[in-house]
Amino acid sequence: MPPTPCSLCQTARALVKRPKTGQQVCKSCFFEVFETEVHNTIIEGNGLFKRGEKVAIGASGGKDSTVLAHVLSTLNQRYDYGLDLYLLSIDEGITGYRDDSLETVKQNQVEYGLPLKILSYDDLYGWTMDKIVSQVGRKNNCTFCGVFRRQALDRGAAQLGVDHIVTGHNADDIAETVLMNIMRGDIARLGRCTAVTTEGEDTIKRSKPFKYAYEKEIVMYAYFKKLTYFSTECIYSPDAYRGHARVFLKDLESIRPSAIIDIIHSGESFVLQEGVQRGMKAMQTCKRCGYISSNDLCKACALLQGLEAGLDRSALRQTQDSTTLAPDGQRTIPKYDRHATAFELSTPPKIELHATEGIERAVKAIAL
Amino acid sequence: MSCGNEPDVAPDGGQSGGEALMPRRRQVRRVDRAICQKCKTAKSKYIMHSATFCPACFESTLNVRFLRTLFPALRPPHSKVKDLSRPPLQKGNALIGLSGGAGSVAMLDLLMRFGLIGRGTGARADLTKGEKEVVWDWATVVHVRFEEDVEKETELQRVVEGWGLQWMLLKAEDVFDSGLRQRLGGTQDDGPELGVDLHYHDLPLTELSSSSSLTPREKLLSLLTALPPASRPAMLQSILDHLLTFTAATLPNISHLLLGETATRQAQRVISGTALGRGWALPLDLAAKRSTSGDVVQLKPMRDIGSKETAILCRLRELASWNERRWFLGPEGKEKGKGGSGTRSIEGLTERFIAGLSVSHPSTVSTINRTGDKLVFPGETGSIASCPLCESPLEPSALDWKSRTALTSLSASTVTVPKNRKGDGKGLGLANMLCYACLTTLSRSPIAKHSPSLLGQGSVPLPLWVSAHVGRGTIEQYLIGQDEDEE
Repeated sequence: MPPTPCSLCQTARALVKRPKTGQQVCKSCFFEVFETEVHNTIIEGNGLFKRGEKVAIGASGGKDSTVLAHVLSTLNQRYDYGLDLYLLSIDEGITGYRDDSLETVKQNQVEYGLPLKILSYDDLYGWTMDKIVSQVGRKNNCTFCGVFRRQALDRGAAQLGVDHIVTGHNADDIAETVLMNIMRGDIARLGRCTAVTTEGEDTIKRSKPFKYAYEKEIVMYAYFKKLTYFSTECIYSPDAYRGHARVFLKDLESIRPSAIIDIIHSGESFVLQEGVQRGMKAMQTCKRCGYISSNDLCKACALLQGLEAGLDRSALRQTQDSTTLAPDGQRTIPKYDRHATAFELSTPPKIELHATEGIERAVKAIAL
Repeated sequence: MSCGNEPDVAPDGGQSGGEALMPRRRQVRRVDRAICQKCKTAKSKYIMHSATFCPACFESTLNVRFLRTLFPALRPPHSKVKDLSRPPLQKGNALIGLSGGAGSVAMLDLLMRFGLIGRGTGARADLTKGEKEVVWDWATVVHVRFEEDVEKETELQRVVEGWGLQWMLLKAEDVFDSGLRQRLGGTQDDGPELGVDLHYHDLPLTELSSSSSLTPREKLLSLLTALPPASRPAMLQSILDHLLTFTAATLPNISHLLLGETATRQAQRVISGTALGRGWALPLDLAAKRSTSGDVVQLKPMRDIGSKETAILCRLRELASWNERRWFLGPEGKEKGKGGSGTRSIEGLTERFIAGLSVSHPSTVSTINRTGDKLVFPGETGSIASCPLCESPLEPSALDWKSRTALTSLSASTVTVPKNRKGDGKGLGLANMLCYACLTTLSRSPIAKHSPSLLGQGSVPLPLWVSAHVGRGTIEQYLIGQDEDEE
């Protein structure tokens, strides 16, 4: 049987069946369409980036963020976006998982020559995920991790003085979130989960350039490009409810591969009743740490208070309408000031080197 | 109380200041789940939303929910009448869709038991004698056959005629039968018959010869066989929707189309509609009240009652129902798919998923429906073009969106529509006229085998309503306006 020709260039031998379109394509055409689709997402509408913008790539060492760092560096050069790219990693303190994946991030830092900043839960909250899990158990620990990570990313970005964070959320993640928000009636999140960029008054802009990229294609890209990434799943159990949505999505995909992108299209088309939008709580700042919150206390402060009080899973039910001061002897999260680090960046290079771990090594790599 | 100071206790035994006692433990109301929580006397038999009910209270609760959904939709706008008072006599008759499922069977039973539909004699109730006025003078009950089931159809016909209503049997293949309109009493002609070639992205249209010897059934099978298995249920749903709305619009003096879609089906529609890319028009599909063609209002009075509840209601009233929905109609022996639950349809998978999730999360159906109720249609109905296949308002730039997010040609580094059709390109493409979901329904995998059509060409026949819609649109493009003519 003769080899199947690539359905795009019609000359080279097809090596990949694209999950998204079902086309059989060669390696170089696959790279081209994959990167072009990401570029289309970036330039759509008014565009994700502004020229000269400082952009932090949320890097976990996993496939999504590794491919994102690679593709964004490539496109930045190819299309001259004029971006100042950084790697930003959060160390959740999961022994045997995050410590290993951070080694991959450090390797990526050298490969792409990007400055890296690592911020740990331990430094920020005084807790590691290992400690949290030992106190609250394996059930629902993802809620702690998710809330703490979101805030840690913003704080890390503020320390780097960047204007924009990009994350490796892919099409599968977004479709899964759409389904999950419908199933649990989370209207507020349903309204915003398909947005390519989210930005509040006092939060750092976040974007998802892989919004339309299938997880399978990201894996294929990393494989064919021989990128170094860390592929182990988190050792703590995944969110059970999200697990239902994930299994359902995979079943949908096996019946119709376009289901993932079709769900995203539906999610983008949803318009919520005005009354529902008006009923949502207005954003304010947390009275304890200054981070953006829809209650007196942000979720992270409430969770931390619960942990500090020695609560188990019931820490999740800690009220957010609390007093400003934390009970005596309890640790609190440092004050969040989004613009504080602009000054740090303008300070002499010595401090900057101290703030961005590994930058020296990256510079050496470029010099070599 | 073994340590610390003795508290001051008031003479009445209450706490009167001083050092506070440990807060009294909140009394938890113990519910005897063996008795009905509504009448508090009879033995309970059913659990509904965590409450137990005896059969009589169960029925009365469902009755109230049925009337509370139906009656407000039949009152004039801005009416301040209470929910359960009877609405006025409607200007036309009702058309009731009866699939044989528990939802539609229970709906028909409720409509007749409450005396909402008359016998078509025009007799008015004597209100002075406590008689209640009917809401519709008469009704026709329509059943659409996808697969022949003589036992079911005979039983349904017996029930319908037993209530003194008109029975009408339609077949899915009637959408290819040019005689249907005449049978229903209509006069307008459907126009030329068109076919579509599904092998090309732009879905080129061709005019089929009128001398084609295929029967309507063969044409239906030809279309379904050419579609990917996952797309067949969506096509069948469009056929069902069209037959019901077309019948309602064509039969004389019909004002309302009543469908027995339950809360469970509604939740399935939210999820499967989302997975099919129907997010744009989904709020219209979910609406409890919707105006369709010919000024007919479509109502779903069972949308607040779950499928299990309707099944229990049918059992209580000894009504026969057929609850297995067969989505597949195509080559025999290929129903099993490679999906996790062995189904080849998104709709079937969604049904099983919701049923499974409802076991561990009983509020799944109501939560999904609440989410669906909060969605609003972003366009304006009536004023914009509609999709020729599903007849829903057409969303802007569906094809552009698809080609931008999933490139299928190298030249498409910016937004272009792939055209890999060999030929002169003179044909008219259906792809540009379709909504996103229908475009996905008619899209085949690029590596799917070119199956020979029963017509002996690459094209497969389109239902007559699609041909009529496309024909009208195409002709309108080439018509010279009066002003232009005068110039």
